[in-house]
Amino acid sequence: MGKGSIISGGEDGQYQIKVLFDIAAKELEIQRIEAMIASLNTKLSITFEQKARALIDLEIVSYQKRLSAINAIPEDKTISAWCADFTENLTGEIGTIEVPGEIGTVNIHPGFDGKSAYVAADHGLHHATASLPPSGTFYNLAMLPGWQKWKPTFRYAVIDSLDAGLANITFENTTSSQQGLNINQSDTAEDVVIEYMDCNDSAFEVGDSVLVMFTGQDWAQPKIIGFKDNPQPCGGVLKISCGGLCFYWDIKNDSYLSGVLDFNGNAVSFPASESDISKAPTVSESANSLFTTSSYYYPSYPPITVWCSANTVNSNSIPNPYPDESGSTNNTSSRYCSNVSVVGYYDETYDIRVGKETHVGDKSQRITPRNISVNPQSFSVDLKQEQVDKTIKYHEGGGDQHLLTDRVLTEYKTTYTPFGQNNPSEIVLSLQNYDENSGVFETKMIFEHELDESSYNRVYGKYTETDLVQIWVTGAVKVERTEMDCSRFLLNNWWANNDGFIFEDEQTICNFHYDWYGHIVIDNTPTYEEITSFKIWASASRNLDTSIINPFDETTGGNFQDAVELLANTVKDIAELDLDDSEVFIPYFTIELS
Amino acid sequence: MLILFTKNKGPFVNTILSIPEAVVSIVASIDSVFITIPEIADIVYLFTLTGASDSTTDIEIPISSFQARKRNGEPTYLQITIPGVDYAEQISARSNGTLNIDMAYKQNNKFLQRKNIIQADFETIRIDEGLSSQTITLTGYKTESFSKKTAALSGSIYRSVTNGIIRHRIAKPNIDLNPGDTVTIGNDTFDANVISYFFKATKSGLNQNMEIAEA
Repeated sequence: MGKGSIISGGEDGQYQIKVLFDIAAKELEIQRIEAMIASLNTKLSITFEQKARALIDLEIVSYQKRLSAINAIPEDKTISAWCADFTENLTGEIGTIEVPGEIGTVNIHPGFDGKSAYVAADHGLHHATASLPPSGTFYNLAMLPGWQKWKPTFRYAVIDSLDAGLANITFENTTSSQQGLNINQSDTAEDVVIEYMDCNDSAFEVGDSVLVMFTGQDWAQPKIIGFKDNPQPCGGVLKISCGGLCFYWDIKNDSYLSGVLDFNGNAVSFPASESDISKAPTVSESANSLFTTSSYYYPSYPPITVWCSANTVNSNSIPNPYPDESGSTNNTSSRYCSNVSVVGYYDETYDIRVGKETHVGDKSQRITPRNISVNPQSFSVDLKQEQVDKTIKYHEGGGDQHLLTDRVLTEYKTTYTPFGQNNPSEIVLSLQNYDENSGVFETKMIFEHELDESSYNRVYGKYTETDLVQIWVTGAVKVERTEMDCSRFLLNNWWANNDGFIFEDEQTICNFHYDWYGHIVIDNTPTYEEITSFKIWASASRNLDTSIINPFDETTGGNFQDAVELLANTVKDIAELDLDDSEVFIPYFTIELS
Repeated sequence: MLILFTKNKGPFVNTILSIPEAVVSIVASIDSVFITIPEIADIVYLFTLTGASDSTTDIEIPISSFQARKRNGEPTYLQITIPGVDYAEQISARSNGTLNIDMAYKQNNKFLQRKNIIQADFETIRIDEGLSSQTITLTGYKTESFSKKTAALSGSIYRSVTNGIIRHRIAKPNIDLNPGDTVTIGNDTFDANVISYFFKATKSGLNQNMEIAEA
């Protein structure tokens, strides 16, 4: 072990350091030699016999050579060194680890919780061999293989298996620089304790090359304290908090984290009250939620847009892909048009990666167009508040109905995707799946969304070699539908004044209620249950893909989602007592990663 | 300079020692050692301290002994002992010089072949002064790399195997032998990674030892 000083670096735990040597002995020796030279020069000044002077001169040369050799002893050595743990912010003087007790490969002591800071009594100091007397040098070199083997300090090993927080390991073949002697007492060790940052074994996997310390320099007491290189962040422990309750999640094992104890020393059941937990891993403050406050949210009423499906002369029904408040998706009847709107819609996303926050999407309220059958987190279109011209021209002639044109929407505002917002060049409202016999058609909204470079990098570019957590909450969704008669009178009016639906055979125009444009009409106040039926999409996964990935391709759902929903519903059940029917509860999560 | 002829105990070796008159009563010294190989020539070792780095001339200095451990790609160690302090001034004047040991074949007082076999940077000086004698000991190190070649040697006077490491001591040094060469001696063929030299002139003759080892 020794003393070092951080020069630069830190990313991923790799640094440029100076290994600092003990220069006290060097300075003392220089002082001694300079004094001797001075003394000899004095002696020379009073010596006149040629042979004696020659001898004094030679002695001075001898000391000068020694002085040159001493001055040539380096006071430090600049090397690249990995910190044994995933600590990226080390500065100042640090303790070094040399494996296997002599300068070969140098690591920095694990830096978690400031433990790598140099302490002379613990870490010692290197002495340059040249600064030692020959006898001391010989003694040290002669003893080196002996203490390396029988009083071991550190070794490298590979993890063969992991079980219950203990590892079976195989030591790297290790020889001393002196005589090349094998200095391992055994090839393997079993049930080796792992002491790493605050997450111990969760950062390790089978096959990892690790740094092993021997407690008390006893070969029988090995302990894994870090990685040989490329240290890994803990990353395996996730804390999800909501309304005073929380759970800890082991991402790697896709399960609640074991070993979280209450004040009686018993394992807690999740979700648990945060105040009941006495022992749990420390999680990073830097990975807190995007939100800074927790509160109840009232229903939000976004600008209304309309979707219309219309039938024509044959009075067949028109499909309605959106459920009403009863959940029905029954087709609208002939001569009626559907107005399907969303009330009280709130959509928030959480997306955290280790040590950094990445806000996917934004916190704005959104409308999912009625005619886009996708999950709201996939993308959405924020239509203009006033109205959207989404009239569809429809042609029927000679007994055969056919589509005349798709309608290009020109008055939209912005599209939102989880990757940011964007203004597509056009949005086409297309008639699709038209059934000539029934007269039924569907509408689809089609647009191409091109991510700009910054959005792309923000979303796609950073999810490498890290843990990824996503929680999507869509809350307070209510869909209602009104039906109204598309009378010929109204249709005629509409035709006269608007560019509505045109049915050339009957010149039938389905004119919708004018109020559809401009503001929402809520005919029925949503019930509490309807408006608080938030939906959660959640995933927590370890992304080991080194290429650019789409985080939304990561597995969603499963155990983690169940745990998040359980947490949210538990909180909701508690919060319900304090809510009146006009309030809605949207779970607020705090996400922390270790 | 007194020339002293002695007969070596070995069956093929004669030595010729030259001893400075000033110290002849004290210790024998070598300015040339002739190891006569009846079929070929005498073998001579000569020490030179170079002076170019100190803007002066090279100087050959009589020595009473030298020992060296020569390695390929690792520091070679050389230590020479000079009897008396007569050359103190010349040594001081060449404090940045190089220590050179040459080996030569000599016959009929003529060098048939002369070649540097060990070279080291002049690093330390030791002065020993007793009641009746004085010596100057110079040491140095130098790291050199040599091209690998093969050599057939004979005249092994001692063989040992320690932990699988073969060593031979030979009485007939080879002027072209360098560490790293693959040598064949008797039934052994191995890489001579370390070549050790030990030569010391005594009143009773010459102690000499050249050892070739795998490591």
